[in-house]
Formats: sequence, structure tokens, C-alpha cells
Amino acid sequence: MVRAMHSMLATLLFWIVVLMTVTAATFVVVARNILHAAFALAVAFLGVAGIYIFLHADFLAAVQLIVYVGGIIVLVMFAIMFSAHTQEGTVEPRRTWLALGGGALVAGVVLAATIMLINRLQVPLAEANAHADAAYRTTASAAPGEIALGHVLLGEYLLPFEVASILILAALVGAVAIVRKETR
Amino acid sequence: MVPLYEWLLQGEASRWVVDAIVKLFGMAWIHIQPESVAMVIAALIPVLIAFGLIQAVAGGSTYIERKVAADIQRRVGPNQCQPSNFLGAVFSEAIERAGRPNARPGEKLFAKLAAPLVGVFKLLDATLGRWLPGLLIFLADGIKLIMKEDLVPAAADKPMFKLAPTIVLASAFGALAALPYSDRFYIADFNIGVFYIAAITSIEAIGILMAGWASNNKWALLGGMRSAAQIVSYEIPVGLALLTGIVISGTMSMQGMTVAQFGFDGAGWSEGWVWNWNVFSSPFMFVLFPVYYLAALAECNRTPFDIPEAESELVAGYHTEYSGMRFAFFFMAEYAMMCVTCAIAVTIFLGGWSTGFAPFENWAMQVRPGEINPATGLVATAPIFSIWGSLMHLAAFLIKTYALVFVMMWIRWTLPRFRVDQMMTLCWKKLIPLGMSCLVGVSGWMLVRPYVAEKYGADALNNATAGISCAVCLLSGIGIIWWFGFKKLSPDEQKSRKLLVEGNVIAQGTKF
Repeated sequence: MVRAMHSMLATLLFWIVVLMTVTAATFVVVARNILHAAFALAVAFLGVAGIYIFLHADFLAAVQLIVYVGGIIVLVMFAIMFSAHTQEGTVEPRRTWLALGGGALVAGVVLAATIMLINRLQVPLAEANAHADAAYRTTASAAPGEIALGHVLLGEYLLPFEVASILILAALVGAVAIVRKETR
Repeated sequence: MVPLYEWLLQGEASRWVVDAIVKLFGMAWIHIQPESVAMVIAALIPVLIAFGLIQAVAGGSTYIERKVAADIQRRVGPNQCQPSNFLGAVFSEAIERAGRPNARPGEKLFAKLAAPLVGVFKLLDATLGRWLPGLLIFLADGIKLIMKEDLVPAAADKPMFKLAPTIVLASAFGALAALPYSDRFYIADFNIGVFYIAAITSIEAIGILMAGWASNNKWALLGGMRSAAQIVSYEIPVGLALLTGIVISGTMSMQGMTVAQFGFDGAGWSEGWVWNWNVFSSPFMFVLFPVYYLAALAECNRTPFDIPEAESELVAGYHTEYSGMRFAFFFMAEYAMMCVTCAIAVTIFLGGWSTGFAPFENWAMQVRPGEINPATGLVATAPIFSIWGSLMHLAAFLIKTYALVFVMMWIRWTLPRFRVDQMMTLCWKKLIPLGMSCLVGVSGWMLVRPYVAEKYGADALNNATAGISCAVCLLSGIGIIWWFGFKKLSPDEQKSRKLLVEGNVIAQGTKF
């Protein structure tokens, strides 16, 4: 989608999207109202979809929108609205030093792991990105990613794909079975 | 939009504008490249066009809906409103006031200026009012909605209450960007076109849930929940139908899907007939078309699927608490969504912007696929049409889309509303199995096609396809006629049909 976009403008847009994602994600954590947090999570997912577009993964961005924003967030909201415990719609967070310290520790470990991973890459990240940009521009008219993705999903990784499908189907049937037991 | 971007950097006049903007802002504080300016302009112009389009679509559809409702249900008013009723009343009152002894100078001046306008309105009555009665109703609607007080309930969740209509409108607005209006006139042609539309319209459910919850009203909440459940459920048959369209066209781009329905032969000559459209290309597609259409109807929350805003139970559902422009946003989104879903149906099943008449298509085609494009020197992968051909295609696309929109309105003013359980049964027990079997059937059809073509020749295959499709059309047509005309009815059904006929006779005989 951003095939002809100039680099400066692309950088500006990228930082806007990143800012949006991070702000929304922060709001998810600090929001007092649980539904506000759910809506902020939707905005964060939207931002992640935007980042996928900057990585030239248009198909993945659309999947992100359909599955997370259109499906999971709606289900999360259903769950919140139907559950009796959040009648007031608010939760009182207990922000102790222990919780803050634990959160900081987990965040630090994830950050360190990411930095280590980037350093251990065979090709430096910036170089790989530039290469991907160049490859994308020349092949932009022919549909890239999704055809290869389809071949990989339904060829090489057919078994894991089908196993995942059956797992989800089992979860669906299980949910129906549990609900039916209650009504009997 | 890449062609516009290139034109802005190459064209004489546009290049001057780009340079002026670069000089104006680039000198003052930061260094700006002309490419960035051209990019921003090339992105903004289609957005503005789409913004005008959504209002034209909403306004025009409202007018058509009022006319259809007035004709089907014999409603007085919208079908008889005259231009003089609209603004003429204001002017005649001003003239009457100026005649009073205590009239102020301003009033007298206004009456003097208004006097000739009364004649203009009389003239408009005789022309516009006779040919298109009720045309100005949508302008009156617009003025009313803008002038209305924008109420926000005290107990509402204010930021979310204000944000919700914007999200609903934005999702419909985003979908307008990817529609293939014509071969030359389109805003963007994404390589994931259909998938993009499915993704962007799925955000609508969030806006509706947000509106229902933020209103802090039981009716609104119930309406929002019902609507979200309905949209999430009916996304499945819609998704299956879109998937089948992708399987049969071999592409997700909206333009690519349209071109795939031309049926080019080896020499690049277009078949381009009506029977090359996807809906007739295999019997499964013919069955799938009503599946998609019904599911799309439900996704738009239109009658008979309008249980989220059922007046008899929920006042107005998720937009109960909204007034003025915020209500108008929901309204515009509904009409834009209708047009978007019908445009997708046209693109996937009914040949997109193709006219369905091969001589027209071959006349308008300048560069055939496989030939060398003189403008670029490369082999053209898609046909290139003359400007008249593009306009013809635009007209064909709009006529086809609005024909489907008309049927949606026809259904709305004819059929009563489903119950929630009936609506869910239709989706999960009828449309989804039907859509699923059609998907499997079309996939099998596409697998078998090359072998049949190799063994018996492409002509025999096309004839067989057309023959089977025609047979299915004929059989289903006979089935429909039998069902409605000759099937033995139960006493209850006989009674209800008699009442329906009598009611129509009474309505036809009524004089207003």
C-alpha cells in the first residue's frame, strides 16, 4: 500500500502510527474503566496493523483487523458487558510497589531479549529492511506475499495448520457443550 | 493513488503548485522534498472525493428510499413535496409580515428581495416538482439535522458517546476507497482489495457496541449487542462468498476481479457478454449470489434483519440517544454500507464495471491484454479503454449497484421483521452450510476445469458451463414460480395471502 511513498513522509507516518499504538497500549494498562481499556486495546491493534503495512505485510494487516479488531475485541466487550462482576464498569487497581517492580522486571527482560535478538541477526536489521523495501518496489504490481503465504500454509505447514483448526473447532464445540449443560 | 502522484510531479500546472508549496513551507523551517508534497496532495484529493461521494451517496439514496417507500406503501408527503413548500413558505411569510403596519425596515427589504423568488419557486414547481417530486426533501433533512440540538445525555460516557458515530462512519468511508468505480476512475486498487474492505467494515461493530454502551440506556445497549452479534455472525457467510469470488477470479484486487470476468480469448478479444460474469460461470456461484446478498442485507442492519433498531421493542436501538449530526452519521453510514455491499456484490458476481455487451467492450478497448502498450512500451496485462469507455463503465457500475440497492429498499418496505432466533437460524443453519458447500463446489470446479478444457477443448467447456448455469437458472426460476404460484397452501397461508391481496386492493383504491 505504501509502494510509492517517499521516505521522509513514510517516516513521519510511521512515528505517528507508533505513537498511537504506544499511547493506546499505555491507556489499556492505566485505564480505570475496563471498557475504556478494551476500546484502547482496539486502537492498539489498529496501530499494530498499521506497523504491518509499513513492513509491507498488507495481508497480515488485514488479518489483524478482521481477527483482532472485528472479532476478538467484540468478544472481549461481550464478555465484559455480560459478566455480572463489572456492573459498575470500573475496577479499583491496587498499584503496590511489588506490582510496579514486577512489571518493570518483565518489561526489562523482554526489552533485553529483543535487543539481544536484534544483535544476533545474521544480516543487520536496517540492511534487511532496505533490501525488503527494494524487493517490494520492483514486484509491487504482481501480487506478492499472500500467494506464497497460501502455498506455505496449505503445503509445507498443512499438518500444523489443520491441527490448529481442529483445536479451535474443539474449543467451539466444548463451549457449546458447556452452555448446553447449564440450560438443562 | 500512483497515477495522480506521477501526474503531479510531471504536469506543468500541478508541478507549479507543488513547487510553490515547497517554497512557501520549505524555506521557512524545514527542508521539504517536492515528492512529499505531491504524495500528500495525491493522498488528500481522493479523500476529498470520497468525502463528497459519501454525502452524495447518502443524500441520493435517501431520496430514492423515500420514493420507493412512498410508492410501495402509498405514503403521502415525500412523493408530493414541491420546491415552493420547502423555501416558498419562508418567503410568503416574510411578504405577509412586510404588509403589516408595524413592519420593520429590514423585513420590508427582505420581502422586496423575496418577491421575485416566489415566482422562481412557482416555476420550479411546474418543472422540477412535476418531474421529480420530493427532490428537495433530502436538503430539508440535511438542514434539519444540522440545526438540531446536539444532545449528550448527562449519564452518558461522553468521550465514547461522541466518538462512536465517527468510528461507524469512518469504517464505511474507508471501504469507499477500494471500490472499482470504473477502469480509469477509482481511488485505490489494493492487491488485497476485497480483504481490505472486509477488514475495514468489520470495525463498524466496535463503533455500534461503543454507541450502545456509552448511551447508558438499556434499549441502546440491547440494540448495540444485538447488532454486534448479528454483524459478527453474518460476517461468516459474507466471508465465504468473498472467498469463493477470490477462488474463481484468482485475485483479491477489485480491478483484477472485474477484468477476470471478461473471458478474454487467445487473441485478446473480449467475450464480455453477460454470461461471462461470475454469477453464471458455475452453478455454485448462482446459488451463492442470494446467500451473499441476504448476508449483506443483514450486515447493513436493514429490514427484515433490523432487529438491532426494532422500533416496536427498542425505540431506535443503538442510536436511541443520538440527535442532530451525530444521528446523521449513523444514517449516512447505513446508506454508504448498503452501497458498498451492493458494489461488492456487483464486483464479485455481476461483472464489476463491464457492460455485459461484447461489441461495446471491443469498441472501447484501445490496448488489448497481451499487446504492447504504446504509452509505456510494456506488454499490457489488463485491457486499456478509451475515456468514453471508462465513462460507459462508470455508468454501468452505478446502474448495477443502484439496481441492487433498489432491491434492498424494495425488501425493506415489503417484508416484516425477523425474530432474533429466526435471524440466527437463517445464518448458522442455512446460509453458512450453503456457503460452505458452494465454496467446496467452486474449488472443485476450478480444479476440474483445466482437465476438461484439455480433453474436450475450451469451447466445449464454455458451452457446457453456460448450459449447466442456464439449466440451474431455469430450474430455480421454475422452482420460485411453483413455490409462489402453484404450491398447495396450508389454510393459514391461504388466509394470510388473501389478507395480503385484499390489503393491496384497498391500498390501490385509496385516493388521497
